[in-house]
Amino acid sequence: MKNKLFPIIFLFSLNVFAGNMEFAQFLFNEGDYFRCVTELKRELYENSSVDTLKTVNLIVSSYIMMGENLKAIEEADKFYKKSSDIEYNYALALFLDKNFSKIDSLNLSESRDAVVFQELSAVFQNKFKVSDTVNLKGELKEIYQGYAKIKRKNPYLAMLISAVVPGLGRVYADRAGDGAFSSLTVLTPALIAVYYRTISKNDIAFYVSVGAFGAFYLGELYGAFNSASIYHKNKTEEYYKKIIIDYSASLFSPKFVF
Amino acid sequence: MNFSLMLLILLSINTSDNYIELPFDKGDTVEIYFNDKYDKTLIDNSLNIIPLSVLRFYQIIISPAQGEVCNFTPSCSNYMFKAIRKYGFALGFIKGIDRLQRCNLNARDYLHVHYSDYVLTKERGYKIIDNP
Repeated sequence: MKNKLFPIIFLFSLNVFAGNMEFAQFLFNEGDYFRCVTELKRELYENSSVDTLKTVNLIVSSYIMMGENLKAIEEADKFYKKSSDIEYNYALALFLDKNFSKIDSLNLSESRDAVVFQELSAVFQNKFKVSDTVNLKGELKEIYQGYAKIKRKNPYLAMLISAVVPGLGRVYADRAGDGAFSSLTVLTPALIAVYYRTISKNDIAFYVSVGAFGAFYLGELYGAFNSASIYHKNKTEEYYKKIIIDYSASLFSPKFVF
Repeated sequence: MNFSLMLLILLSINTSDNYIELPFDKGDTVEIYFNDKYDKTLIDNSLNIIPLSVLRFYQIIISPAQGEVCNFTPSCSNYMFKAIRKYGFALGFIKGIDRLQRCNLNARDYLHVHYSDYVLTKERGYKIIDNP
């Protein structure tokens, strides 16, 4: 009896999902985006009456959910002018890929949703003027206000501070740990040099320690200058990652309809 | 003094756990020996060959004694090596010293703040990627 039932159950089980699209939706909801893309592509290949734009948009959305932004861009590149959803997802994938120049080159009308990413890319390229913030809406305004709080550090000031008090320039550039360690690396050979000059009277050891002091002092000056000059870039990078997580449910989620 | 320093180095190598595997099992040093693209020959038309040779001596003889201790990849000595090849002795050396000062207990706290990328390694869990 069991042997006869098995093929019947098996045949019924094949009909649980009426079409590829339903199965694709099931996979999408389960988070299996890779296989969802396979099903959607199968649908595009097999079914001539399928809504191409909708299916391509779903493929693009799946790629974005997988974090495969380059594939999403490649997929959406041919179709983004025909559908506003694909355009939004295309701009989103470009933004997540940090391809700001490409976003700027897109010709979008102001009524389209994808304009958000052009404004965002302008913010992150520091092209935004304070007078433009009047037109910004809710989330964008919040993002801009957060960006505007990131301060710039003067690298020459950092170098000057480090020249006077070794290590303090790095503290100024928000690297207190590095500053403490590098001040040790500068002061230790300096103290050793003083010891060999005054107490031990060893000339060779004195010159070696003075050389070490000079090398670490120069390294400290360069380090303070460099860490202050890349401070804004690093903080912007950190903020970029933060907003992508904070607004992942609204601004940075792809638009799609099954 | 030189003799005592050499004795100390030889003793430290021989008492180290890694001395049998030296220098082939040493992170970046593996790259030096087995990666064809890596410049093994040290062919350099300038006087850079002197500091580069000193660095190479350190990498092959001294460094294996202390094992994998660097927080970054490429390691500090490789960083200075690459920086000298790229920017010349003066700036490369200063960049290398700066890197030595950054390679401290706090380096890992700055991941995702001042450093963005890292790579998983067997010995130290992960290392921060920082190229010259």
